[in-house]
Amino acid sequence: MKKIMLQDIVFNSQKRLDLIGLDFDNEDSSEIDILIIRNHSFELLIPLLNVYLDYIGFKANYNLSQYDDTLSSTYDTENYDLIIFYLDSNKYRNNELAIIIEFRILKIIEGFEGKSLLCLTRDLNFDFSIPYFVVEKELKTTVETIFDDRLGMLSGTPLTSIAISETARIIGFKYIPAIFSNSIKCIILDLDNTLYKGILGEDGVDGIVIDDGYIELQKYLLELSKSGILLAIVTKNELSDVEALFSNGNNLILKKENFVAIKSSWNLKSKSIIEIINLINIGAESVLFIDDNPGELFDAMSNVPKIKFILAADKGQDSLNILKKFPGIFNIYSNRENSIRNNDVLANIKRNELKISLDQTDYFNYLNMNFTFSINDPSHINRVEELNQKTNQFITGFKRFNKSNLNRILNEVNGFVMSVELDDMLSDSGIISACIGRLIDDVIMVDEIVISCRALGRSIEELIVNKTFDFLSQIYKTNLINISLIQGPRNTPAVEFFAKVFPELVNNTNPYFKKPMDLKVNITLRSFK
Amino acid sequence: MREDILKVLSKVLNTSLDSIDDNSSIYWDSLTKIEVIISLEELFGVQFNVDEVKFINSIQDLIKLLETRNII
Repeated sequence: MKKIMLQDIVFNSQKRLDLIGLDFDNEDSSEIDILIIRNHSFELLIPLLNVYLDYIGFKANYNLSQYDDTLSSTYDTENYDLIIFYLDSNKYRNNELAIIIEFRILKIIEGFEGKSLLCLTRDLNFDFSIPYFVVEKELKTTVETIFDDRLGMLSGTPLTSIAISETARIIGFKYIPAIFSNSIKCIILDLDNTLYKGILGEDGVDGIVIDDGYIELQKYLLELSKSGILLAIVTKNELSDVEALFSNGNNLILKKENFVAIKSSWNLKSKSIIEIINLINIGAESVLFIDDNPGELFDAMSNVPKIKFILAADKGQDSLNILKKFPGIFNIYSNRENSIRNNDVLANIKRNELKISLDQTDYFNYLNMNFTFSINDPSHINRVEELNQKTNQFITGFKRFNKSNLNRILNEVNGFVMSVELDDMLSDSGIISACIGRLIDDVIMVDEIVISCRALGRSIEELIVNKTFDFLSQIYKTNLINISLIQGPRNTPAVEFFAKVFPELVNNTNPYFKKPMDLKVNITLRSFK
Repeated sequence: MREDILKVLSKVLNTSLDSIDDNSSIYWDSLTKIEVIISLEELFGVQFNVDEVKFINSIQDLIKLLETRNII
C-alpha cells in the first residue's frame, strides 16, 4: 500500500528532501551489486537511486571507483551484477575521445557476465555499443538548469541537485528495468475515471468527459500498443454500456480492436485479471494494472502477487506523466519484432484453439509454417541480443551476449550466430530463436540456444533445434556437438527438452544424429559466412 | 526554523532527530557536507556561494551562516 500512498512523490517530486529515506516495505527485494566506474561524484545520487531501486524490488550494494577519466585502471568485475560507467563528458576535450571511451569500456566488460550502462553528462555524438544515455538530452524537458559550476567546485559533479534527482530516476526507473528485462508486456486498464472522466453506468456514453489530458493518455497507450505492449480492459460496467462506449463515435482514441481482451463483470477484478494473464500466457510481473480505485488495486495485489499497478490520478495528464516514467515501459531494444508482437500474441490464442481441435498433421498443414535459418546475418544482431538478454524459459547457457560480443563472434572465422525466423498463415513472428557458438577442434561448441516464449507451446522446439544442428553439421562438416547447459531459476522448459531429446549432447561432446521429422513445413537456409 | 534544519540533518545523516542539537559535534565528510548544503538550499530556496560553504565544518558553523544570511 505504501507504493500507492507515495506514488505522487516517487514519480513526480524532484526534491531531494521529499525522496531520500523513502521505503516501500519490499519484503522480497533482490540484492544487486553495482560497480560504479566514474570520473565525477556519484555519492549524491546514491540516496535517491536507492529509493527508485527499492520501488522496483532491488537493494543495491555499491562499489565506487576512484575518478578515472581515461578508464585505464584495472577492474575486477567478477562479482557484480551491474557496472555503471558514470562519466562527465565535459572532461573530454573532443568527441573523438568517444572511440577511446568505447574501446576502454569494451575492454573492461570483456568476459563480464552482468549488465552494463553508460551515463554521460553531455552527448559525445557517438553510438556506444552498450546501453547508454545522455543526462542533458534526457532531462531537457523536465529540468530547467542541468549544470551548475558552483556545485561542480564543491561536490565534484557538474549536475545541479534537481538534475541529480532526475538522473537517479532515469537510471532506476528507466534503464535498470530495461537492461534487466523487467519489461511491461501488458497494461490492464479500468475504464471509469481512468481512460476518461466520469462513470459510464451513471453519466452515460454522452456524459463522460474525454479532455485533452485523457486524449494524450490514450494516444500514448495506442503508441505503446503499436510498440508491442498489449492492452486489456477490466471494468465493473454492464457489457452493453461498454459496447456502446466503443460504438458511439465519440473522441475515444482507443478502439475496441486495440484491446486483446475486454472483461466486463461485477466479479472481483483480480479474477478477470487472472483470466487475461492465462489467455496471453505471460507472468504477472509483466502486467501493469491501472485503476482509480485503491480498493481494486489492493484486491489485485493481494490475489495476483507481483502485478504492477498505478493509481489513476484525477487528471488524465497526471496519469500519463506517471505511466511514461513507469519502470518497464521503456524498451531498450527497438526492432521489428516489437511492432509485430501484438499480432503474434493474438495469433497464439488462435493457434492454441487449433492445436486442441486438429491433430498434429492437420495443425501443421493448416498453419503452413515457413522457417528461415540464417547464419551470421549482421542485420539480425539487435534482435538476437534482445532474445539473448530477455529469454528466461528456453535458454541454455545464460551467456547474455550483448551486441559487441555477438558482433565479435560473428566476425570470427569459426564463430556462428544462427537466427531463426518464422511466419505462418496467422502471423509473422519474426526472429524467434538463436543459436550461438564456435567450432573448436572439429566440435560445434554451442554456448547458447534461445527460443522466444512466443514460439513455445507451438510444437516446434524440436524442429528448430534439430534443423539448427543439422545446418551447423552441414556447414562445418562435423557432427560432433557439445551444448553448454546451465540450470537457471526459470529455464526448466529448456532443461527438460534437452534431457529428453538430446541428453547425450548436454555438457558432453557426442555425435549428433538427425532426428526424423515428418512435419510439413517450408525451410530455407541463408548463409552469410 | 531550527527544528527544520535539524530535521534535514537527521534525514541526510540518517540519524535520529533526538541525537542532534545545535551543539552536536557530528563528523561529516566533504560530500555529506555538500548533501546537507544542497538539502538546505532546497528547503530555504537559496544558494550559498563556494566561499561560504568552504568554512562550514559543524552544525554551529551552519547555523551561523544561516543567521548571517538572515535565513533564520
